[in-house]
Amino acid sequence: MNLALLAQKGAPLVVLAGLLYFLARANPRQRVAVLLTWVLPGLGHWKIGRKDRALWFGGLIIGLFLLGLVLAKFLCVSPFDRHPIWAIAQAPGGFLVVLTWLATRGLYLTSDNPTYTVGCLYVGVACLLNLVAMCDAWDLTEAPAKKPEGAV
Amino acid sequence: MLPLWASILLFFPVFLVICMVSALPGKSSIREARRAGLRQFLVGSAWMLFGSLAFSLISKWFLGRAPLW
Repeated sequence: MNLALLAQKGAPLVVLAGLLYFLARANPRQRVAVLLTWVLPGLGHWKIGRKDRALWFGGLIIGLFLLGLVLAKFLCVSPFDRHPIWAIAQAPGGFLVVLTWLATRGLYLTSDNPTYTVGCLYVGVACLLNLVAMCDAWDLTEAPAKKPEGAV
Repeated sequence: MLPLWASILLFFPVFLVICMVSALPGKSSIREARRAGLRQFLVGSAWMLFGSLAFSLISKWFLGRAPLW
């Protein structure tokens, strides 16, 4: 079995395992915060009252996402038609990606764009950085560990 | 195809955002994260520029050598 086939077959299993682990381990507050962050960067932090962090994550990640869209002339989000490989990197982008995909479905490449690949990279990195925001939301909503009996 | 200087210039914004976002988890304040992220960006950029320059010079020297056989 070659490496590409292994990655193709293994990636969905890894994602599924991660999702099951998340559902089993998370408390309800964590689930809401992480899912809201996946929907829109910063939204989960806003919900748990960490507005400064929400603006930091939201501003940086959405800003990079929009800059990438402009560089790629709004053609870089297309999970099924133009280039499904970028969809793997864009998956953590959540609602932003779905919205952009629906809004730019009718666009077609009509001229050469030298910044197209850079735009794809920007959008992919922005979506992957949302994973950092999701981990931070998870971390902030984790219940503090109970002190053992008799501890000072 | 983009010229080299444009590729280098386009690398900096994305690297800055990576540094700034990845600096926040584990920090208690935005100010602390901003300082750590900026330092990471400056040090990382310097290392990357230095590394690419060294790699480019070594490649140029290696390719300019007379063939051994």
